[in-house]
Amino acid sequence: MSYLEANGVRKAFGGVQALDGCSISVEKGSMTGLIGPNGSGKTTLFNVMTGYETVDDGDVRFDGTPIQNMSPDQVFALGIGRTFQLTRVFSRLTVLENMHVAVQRTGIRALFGRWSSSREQERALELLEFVGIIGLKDLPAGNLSYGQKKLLEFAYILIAEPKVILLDEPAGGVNPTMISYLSDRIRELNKMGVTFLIVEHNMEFVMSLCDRVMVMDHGTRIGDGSPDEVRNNPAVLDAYLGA
Amino acid sequence: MRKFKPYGLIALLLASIAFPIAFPSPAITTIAFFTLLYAAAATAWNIFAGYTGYIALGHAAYVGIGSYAMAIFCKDWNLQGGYLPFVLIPLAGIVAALVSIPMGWIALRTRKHTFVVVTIAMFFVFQLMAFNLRGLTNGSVGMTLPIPTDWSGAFFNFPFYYVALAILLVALGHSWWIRHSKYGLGLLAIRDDEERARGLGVKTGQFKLTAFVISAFYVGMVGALHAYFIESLYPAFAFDPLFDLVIALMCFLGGLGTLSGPILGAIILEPTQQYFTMRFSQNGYYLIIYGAMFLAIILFLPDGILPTLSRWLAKRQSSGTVRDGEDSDSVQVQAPSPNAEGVTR
Repeated sequence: MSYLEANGVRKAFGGVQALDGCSISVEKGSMTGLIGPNGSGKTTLFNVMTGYETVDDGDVRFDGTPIQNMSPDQVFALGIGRTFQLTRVFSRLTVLENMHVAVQRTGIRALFGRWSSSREQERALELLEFVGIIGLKDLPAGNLSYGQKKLLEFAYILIAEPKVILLDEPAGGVNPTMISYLSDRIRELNKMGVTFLIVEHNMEFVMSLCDRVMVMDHGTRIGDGSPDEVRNNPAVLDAYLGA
Repeated sequence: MRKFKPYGLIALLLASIAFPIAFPSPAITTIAFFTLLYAAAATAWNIFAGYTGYIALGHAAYVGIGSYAMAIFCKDWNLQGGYLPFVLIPLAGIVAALVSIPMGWIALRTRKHTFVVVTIAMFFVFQLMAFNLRGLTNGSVGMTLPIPTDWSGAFFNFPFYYVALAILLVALGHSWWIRHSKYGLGLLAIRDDEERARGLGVKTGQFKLTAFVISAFYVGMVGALHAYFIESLYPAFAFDPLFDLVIALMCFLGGLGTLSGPILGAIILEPTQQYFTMRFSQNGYYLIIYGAMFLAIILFLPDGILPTLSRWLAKRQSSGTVRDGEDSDSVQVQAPSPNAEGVTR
């Protein structure tokens, strides 16, 4: 059994069948890419896997536990973090405050604690340093550039120490220097044992980073293999170049 | 996060304690009492609406519930006018808070405009109930509260003033504490992006409902104190639809979601309203002026006085430091981050 998997997931929005019996699997500690043309259902699959959408049929399992009916906070608590294609930060909170939103406490401390303990604060600063935006910590997050917001979103997910991170187009709209900077960070985290599932249009980025790539089209998986295999798969070429 | 500045606060506190002694005229202390009362209500409303961004326009229901709870307690327990009824104020607040739990639970299933409309509708349901549950509320005949007969006219306002001040201080302390707690951070995250906050483990439903109930509690206490002050209750006045507009206006003027913005708004608006009411009450001019002010605030000060002011100060400060050539790295991306992108849009 895989670490994170979706089995025969179906999801329709009105007449549009966004996911049509889609199955994918992600191995523990791997870096898996998920590619496919626009509208192939990648983001919907992410939403289904993180509790933002319910499934019509099929199931999603994380480490053997079915998670398809969980809410986003429950999925997050299990250790699955995600970023969004259109970056979502809390624009009126400062960068540092953003970092602390994801550290939720349980029990009485949830209601009566200060917004950060010194240990959490240290960790937040460490992570901002890690992604390179520590100098912006006191600015409202809304004032950051698009790329910086992406880094912030990445950092505030890390603070909860997720086991799996789902990245939705991390390199979209980001300059090349930032892209290579981001891939280095991802590699570093992967070495520490974090599993990644990455949706991306930037082929170079995916192919250089991932050891396995899955291809989606029309809501279902049409290819699966090493970057080289996928590159030479006729069905994939068809989907991308049109037949 | 703003730093804690105790000196200014202590000076303000001493000034507000000394105020009725310095200006003992009942005309002035009445205005001061109403100002504190509205400041407390606006602070409480801000704990919910300001921090979560959910604009509730039915909190007048909890003023009414607090008022009627107070009147019913006094009647049932045969209380005489004096200091004793003040003790019941927190109890009236609890009644309002208890009622707000199912109401909040229902209303908070909706968002944005729908939420606003649902809260308004709920308010009118309660107002209708006050008219029609005659066994409990005496219907449109109204209820009276005990009158503190042994307090002289000159002294009468003093206890009310200090109780209002006490409610305001507790509400403000609570609001400060929430703003600096993990819980408050969760509320502010909900204001900015509720779905995202939920995806990061914030228990959005619980958080919103707790804030709703906390604000209903304080607003209920405000209602109870107000009822005791005016000594009589009628459904149309105890459940006053203008109340929410007034406290919302105060919060918007001072700065929605800030700690002291609602108080600043109350200090500006309530004496103004009292003044206009006294001068033009017969023809209702003050309502026109209020409407005009609302428009002016939305047009020219959409963020309120305090945020606009602090932004202006920050701008002045940062342009000052750039001129000095110091501390400029505080707004720059540090190496090894790619800083090719601009810091601000």
